[in-house]
Amino acid sequence: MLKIVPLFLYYFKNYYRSRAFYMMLAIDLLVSSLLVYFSFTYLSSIDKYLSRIVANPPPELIRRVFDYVWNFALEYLPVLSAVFFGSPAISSEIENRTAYQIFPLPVGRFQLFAGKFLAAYVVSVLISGIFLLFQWITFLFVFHILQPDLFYLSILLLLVFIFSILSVTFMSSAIFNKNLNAYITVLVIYFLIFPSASYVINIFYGYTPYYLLTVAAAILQQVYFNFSVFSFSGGFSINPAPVQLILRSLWVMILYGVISFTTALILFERKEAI
Amino acid sequence: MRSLVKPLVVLIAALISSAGFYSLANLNQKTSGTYYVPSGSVMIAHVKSDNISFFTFATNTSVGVIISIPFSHLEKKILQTPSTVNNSTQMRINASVRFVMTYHHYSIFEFNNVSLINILSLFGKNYSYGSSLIKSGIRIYATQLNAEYSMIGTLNAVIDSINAFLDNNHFRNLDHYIDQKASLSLWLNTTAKNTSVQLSLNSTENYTSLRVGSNNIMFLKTLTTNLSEKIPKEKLNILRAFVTNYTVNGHFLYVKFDLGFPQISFLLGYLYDLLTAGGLNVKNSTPVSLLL
Repeated sequence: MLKIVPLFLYYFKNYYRSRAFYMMLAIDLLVSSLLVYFSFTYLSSIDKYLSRIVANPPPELIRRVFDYVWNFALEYLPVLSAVFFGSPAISSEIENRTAYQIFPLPVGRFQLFAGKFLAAYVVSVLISGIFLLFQWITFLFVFHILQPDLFYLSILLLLVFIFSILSVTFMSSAIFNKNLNAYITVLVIYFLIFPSASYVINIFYGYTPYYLLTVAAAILQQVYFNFSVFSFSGGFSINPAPVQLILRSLWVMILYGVISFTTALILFERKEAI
Repeated sequence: MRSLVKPLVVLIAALISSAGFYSLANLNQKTSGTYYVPSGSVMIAHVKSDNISFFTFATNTSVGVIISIPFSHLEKKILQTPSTVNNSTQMRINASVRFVMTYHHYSIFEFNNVSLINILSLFGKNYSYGSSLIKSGIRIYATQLNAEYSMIGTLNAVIDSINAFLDNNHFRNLDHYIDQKASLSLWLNTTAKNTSVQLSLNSTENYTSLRVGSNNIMFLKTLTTNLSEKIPKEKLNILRAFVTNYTVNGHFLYVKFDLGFPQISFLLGYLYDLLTAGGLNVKNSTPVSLLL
């Protein structure tokens, strides 16, 4: 197990020196800056918008909607991070033929996989952490109070979601031998197939397909304001998502994570440096 | 050692996955309004009206109505309906709403210049079973419970409802007492002068069935006598005219009335007389006084 630590450090250095990291950092800073700007410029618009739903919206509700808007970006940043850091994790070793040097090393495949996964996870958390820091500071400046407990709940859910989506990208990377295929597969499934399926099922079957990862990830927003574009058939509530919905989404994310992680590991164990 | 890692990871994954699938299969999303009815309720009524259903409940300290519409719709209906809707009482003039407090992230609002009965009357039925709630002194609070349900009532009722859901301390086996398919279903549990009475009433469009259970056999006998032979009051005579069938079985009296949901307020008024004539002083019993 201790062999994982040097491997993790090695891959972590690789990740944060990579172009992918700087690209993600640039996206992160751009999105955060835009949201900071919007937060100060359009804060009064939240009040106006909420007035259409409830007369005299309470300050607590305005604050929750503020976080809800920020978490829209937080819902997608980990997906991009996971695709950039996870999708080429295994396939690149085959595509760049580095597997010839790595696979014969006296290091177990599990250690290699775990070291790489952990490094990608920490880098993804770092990217999201920078965004969260911006959110926390902006909230303090705008409302002059600290973030509520829901903010910390959303961080916990975010950590599980990063594990989940990263596992999916690692699985995709273990299936394909070309980086491009691994990238495209995850992006198409997450941004096209899952949302489309959600809309179709909501419209034609009248229920929300909670088992889709895209739908489950919306809990990052729903912890503040129980509305999701993927679950419109059930209406919406101005209250935070109830604990049952949080648990359900949590389990869906854990299941995606655990099953994908294990599948990726098994595939990686059987991978040959062709 | 290395060979053990893979089976161990697969085993842990299998265990977590099994637990996950089991939890997902058994995780109740609790979207029904029944999860917001407090366990300490002594009166529960369920009314179906078009596409809307109401759960009215009363504990010893609170009265609330859970309505199957989102809060924004409820609020809009109350604030935007012209005040001329109810000219007789003129209670709805300048109805307004203001935010009062947040309780466990639930925003609680207060409606001013409007009574509970006025609000219920907006939905097209005569809810005279809650007529005593029109007392102008009662402050009306409201909150959104979930995507489908809102509630209005006293502040205690709103808080009791939220607690019932959050603490999983809602009224158990509600379906045992309340028939949600009936137009009106009512359950009442009250005690006066050492006589406890449980009353279940289900009303459809055409007929109403009533079950009265009591620990006091004499009380039941008096009720039965009033229904069958000695009718002390003219009102009870009218009531008897609608009795199509009745049986007594141990501690329970079963009565069927040839009166449906449209005449329910009429029937409830006579039931009040019947209970009083039976020797149960229900005037000071909170749930009964709220009901009649």
